[in-house]
Amino acid sequence: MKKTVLFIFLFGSLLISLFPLYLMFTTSLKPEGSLLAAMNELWPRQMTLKNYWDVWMSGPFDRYFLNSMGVALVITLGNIFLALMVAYAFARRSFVGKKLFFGTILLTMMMPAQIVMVPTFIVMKHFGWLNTYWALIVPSLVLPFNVFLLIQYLKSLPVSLEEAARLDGASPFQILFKIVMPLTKPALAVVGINTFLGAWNTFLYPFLLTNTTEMRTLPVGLALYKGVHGVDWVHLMAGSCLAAGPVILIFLIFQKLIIAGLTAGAVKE
Amino acid sequence: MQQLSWDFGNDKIITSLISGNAPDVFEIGSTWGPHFSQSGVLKEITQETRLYRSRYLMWEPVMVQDKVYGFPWLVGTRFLFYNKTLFKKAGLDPARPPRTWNELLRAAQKIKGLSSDTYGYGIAVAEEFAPWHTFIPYLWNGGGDVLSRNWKEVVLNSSAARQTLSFYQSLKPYALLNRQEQIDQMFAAEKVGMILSGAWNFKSIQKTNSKLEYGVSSVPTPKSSQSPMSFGGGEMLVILNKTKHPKEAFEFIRFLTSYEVELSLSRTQRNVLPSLKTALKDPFFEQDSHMKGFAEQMLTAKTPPAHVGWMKMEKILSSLIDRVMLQDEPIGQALEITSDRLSKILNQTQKRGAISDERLTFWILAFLLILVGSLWFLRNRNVPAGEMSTWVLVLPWVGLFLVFSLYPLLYSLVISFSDYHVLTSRFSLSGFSNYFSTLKDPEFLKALGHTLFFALGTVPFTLVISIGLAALIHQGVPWKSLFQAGFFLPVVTSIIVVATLFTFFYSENGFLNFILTAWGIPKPNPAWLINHKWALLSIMAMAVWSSSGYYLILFLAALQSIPSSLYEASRLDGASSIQQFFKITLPQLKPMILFVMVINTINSLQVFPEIFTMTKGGPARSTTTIVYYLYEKGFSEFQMGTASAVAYILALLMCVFAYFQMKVLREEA
Repeated sequence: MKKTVLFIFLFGSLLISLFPLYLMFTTSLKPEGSLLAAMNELWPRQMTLKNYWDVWMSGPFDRYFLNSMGVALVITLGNIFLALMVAYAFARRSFVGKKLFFGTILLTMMMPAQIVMVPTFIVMKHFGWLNTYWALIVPSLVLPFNVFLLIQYLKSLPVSLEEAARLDGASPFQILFKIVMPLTKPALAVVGINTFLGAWNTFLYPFLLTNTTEMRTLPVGLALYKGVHGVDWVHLMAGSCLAAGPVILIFLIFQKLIIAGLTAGAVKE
Repeated sequence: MQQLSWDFGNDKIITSLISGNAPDVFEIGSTWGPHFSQSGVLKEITQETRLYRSRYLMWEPVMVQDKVYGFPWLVGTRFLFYNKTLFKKAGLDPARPPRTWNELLRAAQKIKGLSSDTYGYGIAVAEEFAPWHTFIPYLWNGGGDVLSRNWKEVVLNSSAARQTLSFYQSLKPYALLNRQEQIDQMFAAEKVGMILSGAWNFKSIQKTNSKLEYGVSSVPTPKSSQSPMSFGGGEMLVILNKTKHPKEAFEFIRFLTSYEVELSLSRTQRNVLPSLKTALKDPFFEQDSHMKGFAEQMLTAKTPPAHVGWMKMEKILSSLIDRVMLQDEPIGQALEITSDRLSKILNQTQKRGAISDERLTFWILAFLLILVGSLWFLRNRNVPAGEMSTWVLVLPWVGLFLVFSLYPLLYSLVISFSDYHVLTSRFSLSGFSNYFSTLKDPEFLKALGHTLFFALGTVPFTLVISIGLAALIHQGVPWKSLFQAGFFLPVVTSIIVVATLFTFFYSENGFLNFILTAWGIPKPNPAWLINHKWALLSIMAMAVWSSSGYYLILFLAALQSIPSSLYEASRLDGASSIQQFFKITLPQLKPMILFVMVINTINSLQVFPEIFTMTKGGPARSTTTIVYYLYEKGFSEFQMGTASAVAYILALLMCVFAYFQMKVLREEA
């Protein structure tokens, strides 16, 4: 009995929570022009896929999608490896300037991203990287939060395994990638998921650092589409579904893994 | 060629100028003309244009005294649209649009009388530019103005302005107050009888409601004998100073501004007019009554003052409209405050920077090199031999970090102590003045207030919702993974998507208002995001919705790690599950609560994309948060120095917050 009440309550909350996404999906299916009257039908009486077709034809959304996916994947992998290496050094080794760098990492975590917009732009210009994948990827390879998180996690792991491996003659890199990395998996999962979501959803940097259609990412494509189409809701919702759909699908397919990773990683924080 | 929407064009042009990869000829909106003309990045073309000056309209935006820096191309203006069907229904003559203010008011009253959801007139509010652009024609026709002829003083606070504003206020009971886009859409849907708007409507009306019977006419004036002035603007073609082909560039401009090209663009686009006066009188306009009304108004249109600070002033003037129309502030008081703020901008002098940014780049990079070099030099003393791998581990990340994180941060730190000019990339040191002027700016303090309100409002709600739901799911509900995944879905949805979706959800005809109407609950008027009392709260509710799922998963994880023996022991002692929650669960969750609070607070204090896509800081600046203020300072007022100072103030604030949260929660534990 108690379980049933609990289930009904949670299910109700879930419906409320998912309702906006449902609204987005059904609105995207409504025919253009019918909107003011049919706006609030919960299930559209007339349905069409034309809005999707219009949006798809209005710009290379497949290209936007591939750009977003490629950039987000490279950023995620890069962060996992680079942050693991440096966090390991911070957690286990002593080196000159360690405290100074740690303090700097904490400080950069606190800075709003908007402020380095212009300087970042200038660096990109000096490197000749504007409107290239380098500009979209390289600055995001070193997100300080990931290092912070991994340092905390690595400090909580016992040193004994690593020492045993060293006595057996393993090289530092063998120790890091064969022994430490598997133990760090939960935290790496958190790093990976956070970084991927962040990179997938980011808007301002890709917008400023690219200027041709081939280099745009999905959020930029959608925002520019919104800029031109104003309050043309059916098309905007179709564009939103196109932008949100793939990640939602990927998430639903891998949700067990992702949530297991997040939950396992979170415990040690 | 790249088409930019009005919202984003500005940032984009600035960044391409900085990067030095801008094209030879490009077009800028007339409101940005003065900025570019005076920045020194444009080529002067006074000689070349001498012959054409009297034959084309709208030179003011690209002129500095007698010098010409651009060529007017396609122009436009605001004029009156009226719905003939609604006119007929209300017993008005559809062939005779209102010419005077009194006629406009009477027509608005009559149309409003038709039904409760029909409006006589549309008043643009809660935006950066449209509220002002649709009001200034009335002000001019009423004999008022903003600046004196030589732009030396602000003359806004006049009896003409007071009369015009009180006339505008008298329209309010019969008007729909909303954003221009919404008003245009409602006009097309036959819900609004008259609007002051632009020629972009021809196309959108054709698309959404091709059967609409409407006419166009000039802006009504106080007296019928007056010639009606309106607000004009357009696209200006300019040549960059750096161009290698000045001659070809000008020939290209001449081609684009020829009779045939201008007229054919106007005919095919139907939302712009030629700047060439003879082309405006082409027989084509005689055949098309809509384009004819548009062209007639164009001949008496006026451009706003070509002052560098004008764009900034327009935003302030738009919030004057919000204050008077939405907040019902007394007209005299609102005019006085607005005039004060305008005078401040007028008296700001623009200094040319003395130091180029390349020198700054050099010094910062040199500093970083010396830093790394000295660390490398010191390494042998502290690090045991054979630990070279430490450096291999550290260097890739630290190297990238130095160049792509620390360098930009140091750069903005230096800039925060200087006057920096984005367009010329030059700066001069100015000590702490950016910090002082920011802390003294009432706009900043308001933004700070909104940001704190946002953080203090969202963090507790997010915390309670995510802990509560996590605890309930942890009770052992069937289909646990369904709930985990379901509540997490909003988190994986891009913030741009979420913002677009909720703009729709909160709009006048959106679902929220629909539900409220169906349940008989009064809805706020104007709708949520354009209502200064509700806009920030609406965005906060959205933020709670979109972020709770993430923290829920974190709490669920923490709950699973609480040893079940604790619960078993307390059950033997006879504790109820509510007692268990407060005695065992919450204390055990403390480290996670601390973590979530710190992260969530940092994120809330930095709220930006939502504001940027949904409200642009409005209405009446009620959603301007610190980061939005920063963005405005840097990218629409070109004060990078101030913007950087704001960022450092914000960073300090976040450190203080994080410190106190950790301290308080540690002590309790």
